[in-house]
Amino acid sequence: MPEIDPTKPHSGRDAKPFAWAGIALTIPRGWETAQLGQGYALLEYQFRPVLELKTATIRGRFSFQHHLKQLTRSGQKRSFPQLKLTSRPPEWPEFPATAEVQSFTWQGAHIGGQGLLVYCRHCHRATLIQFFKHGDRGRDAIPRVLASFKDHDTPPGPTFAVYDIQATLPARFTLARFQFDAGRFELVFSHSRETVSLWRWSPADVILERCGKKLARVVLDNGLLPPAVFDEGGQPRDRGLEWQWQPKDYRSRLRHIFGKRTQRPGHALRIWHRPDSNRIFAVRAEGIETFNVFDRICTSYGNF
Amino acid sequence: MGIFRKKPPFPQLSREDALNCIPMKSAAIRASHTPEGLVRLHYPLVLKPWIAELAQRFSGAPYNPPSRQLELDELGSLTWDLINGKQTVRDIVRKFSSQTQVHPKEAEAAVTRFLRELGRRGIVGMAPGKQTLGVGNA
Repeated sequence: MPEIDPTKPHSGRDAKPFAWAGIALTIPRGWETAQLGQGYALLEYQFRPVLELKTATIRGRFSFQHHLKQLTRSGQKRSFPQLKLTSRPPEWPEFPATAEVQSFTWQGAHIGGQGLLVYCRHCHRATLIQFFKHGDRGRDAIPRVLASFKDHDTPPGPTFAVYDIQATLPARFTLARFQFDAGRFELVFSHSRETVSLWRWSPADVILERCGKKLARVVLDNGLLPPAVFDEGGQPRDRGLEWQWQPKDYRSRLRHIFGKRTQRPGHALRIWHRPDSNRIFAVRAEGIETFNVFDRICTSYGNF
Repeated sequence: MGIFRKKPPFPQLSREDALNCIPMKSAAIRASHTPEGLVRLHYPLVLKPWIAELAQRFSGAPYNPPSRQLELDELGSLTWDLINGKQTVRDIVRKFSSQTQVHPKEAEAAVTRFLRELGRRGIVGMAPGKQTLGVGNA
């Protein structure tokens, strides 16, 4: 990958989206996801931390002092250096009138940082963003990253864009669990009885070689389908395979008997190979009302 | 009462320092390639000194440690071939990432886990690399 100077303004090909836990940013292409958690993200550049993000929905009354202390200390094993509240640097962008903003700086023994706490009165979300200081490098990127900050979906963007994958799901879905292992990513979103699972495997050539160059074998090895459904065989679809099936549990049968007018919820799995990026993607939807939703999720899912 | 003295803690390496280390292959390792192009390692089993001592006393003959074979997969073989005694862990991660098209973070996790496993078996050791100056660790 070409070396990109993070100090240069980023736009177009030099920029990429980052979205996690309801927060969306546009970041320099050289910044990489380092660590993710519930309401937490750490980005790095050349193996050094550059940006840390913590976010939480505030219930009740918001207090800058209280929540700043809470967000800065959460997840810290050691004592955190003393924060110094400052006025917003003039080069940093202004936030909408619905947002309350407080800037701060801190200096530890080896590393320092500056950032801000944003509280949106509209969505009741408090977000702490801090940028780590490594000399003067990266400081010029901060205003542009902050200018791209979004904490609710206006305009709609990807539900998540982390590492090298992104997807857009309907707003009703919330992240239920996730696992990022080397070579295998898994994210599960749910809403009521609907569940959407997304997978990504890499490097695809090695995985396919082990699976006899058959995507169906990847499905089988990873237990993505019930055996009876798998045996029916998948239909070829967009450089991949797709299965659609109806649930056969008692709830589904009752629903079918008593509510014949409503469409029966369905299950679907699609798996496809992207040779250009050497990745395999799969989406499984369970209990979805229409297959159009599933199709839109599959179309939006991919790497960048 | 030396035996009850608390052992000094191992020096803690920062992530930055760990990535700057240079993996070195053990001289006792014999590597060969399988017809499929995978790497097969023959390495002596590392025993606790007192077990080796006992084995030598009971056998009467000079003690030869048992050897083991380890066949690496495609990605392990690629990483093994990148270890040349000059490249740091960071260099190996970068090359692994570009050659396999995996994300740099995945490459770091995979390569460091692999090197740790080889180190546990005594197949590779780590030489300190060039120290990072002026930047602290996270």
